[in-house]
Amino acid sequence: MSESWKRTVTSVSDKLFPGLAFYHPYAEDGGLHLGNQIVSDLPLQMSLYFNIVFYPLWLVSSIVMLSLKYECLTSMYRFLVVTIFVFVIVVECLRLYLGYVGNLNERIPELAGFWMLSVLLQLPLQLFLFINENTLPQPLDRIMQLIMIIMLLIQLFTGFKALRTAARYQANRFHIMKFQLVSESKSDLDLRLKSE
Amino acid sequence: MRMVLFSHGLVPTRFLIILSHLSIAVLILWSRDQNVKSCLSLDYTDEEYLLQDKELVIGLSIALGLLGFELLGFLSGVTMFVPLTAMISIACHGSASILLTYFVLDEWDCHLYWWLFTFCSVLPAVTEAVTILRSLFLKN
Repeated sequence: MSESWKRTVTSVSDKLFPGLAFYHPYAEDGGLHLGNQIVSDLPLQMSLYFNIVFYPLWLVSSIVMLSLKYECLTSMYRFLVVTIFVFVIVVECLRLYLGYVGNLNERIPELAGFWMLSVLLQLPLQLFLFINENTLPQPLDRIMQLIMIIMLLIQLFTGFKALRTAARYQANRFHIMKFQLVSESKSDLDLRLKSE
Repeated sequence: MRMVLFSHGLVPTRFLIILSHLSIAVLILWSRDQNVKSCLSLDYTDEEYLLQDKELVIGLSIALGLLGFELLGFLSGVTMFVPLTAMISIACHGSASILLTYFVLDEWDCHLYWWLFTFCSVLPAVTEAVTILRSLFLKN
């Protein structure tokens, strides 16, 4: 099940980051050392680390503020804010885990999933909690939300760059591997490449 | 090597404490009406109000500026792994956060803020600047 999910994410992300579909999660390369370049991104890793550290504080303060102002909200906004909070909490956990593990181990499906989650789900939801006046944002709400949004934006920009670098590196590796095939090699990768 | 051993607890602590000081300072800046009123005597004129208001705004803004400078030095990595700076920073900003919370909730007098400012905003910024200068000049 996770394999089909990875394939779907990779094929969708290939539209945005060309070269990404060349990614093969194989550790062995038949004894050929194809470069020791580190392709994880430092600013992305730092912002993810600090986001993970900051997340519990944001959670506690947001829940306390919500419980304090719950009576003052209209019934529609009560439902809306609680739903959005549940979504944001779950998506944030998933997103931070994917980004942290993906960047550290240079695993592209996790990184792509993290970036998609950030852009499509997290950005609108956080902006809604920050900007909409009907949720009665208090100064503390605004400050915490602003810090989260700043970290989110940093992750979006650096994540895009990191994903592009990693995809390009994998594409280069694939090209080099094709030229360095040993004719008698019987490893999985060489057999597959020879059959293409 | 020693610094890496310290970094597992010190770095996130310092980051969170700086952020907490930042948020409480911005909070006071945002809703400072009640605090300014508590600085003045019961029958105050508009000029006195504006004067106290301006003083508090200037104090808080300079504190925020020094905080931003320290955060910059921290996040750029120059002072991230220096344990002494981290300890001073944590102690000062921690006490600043707690005392500023009392400042807001108990409606302290305005001139007490300047004591807070000296010990808890200027001191970490100075140690930060000294550390940055040391790392710049001792490397060469």
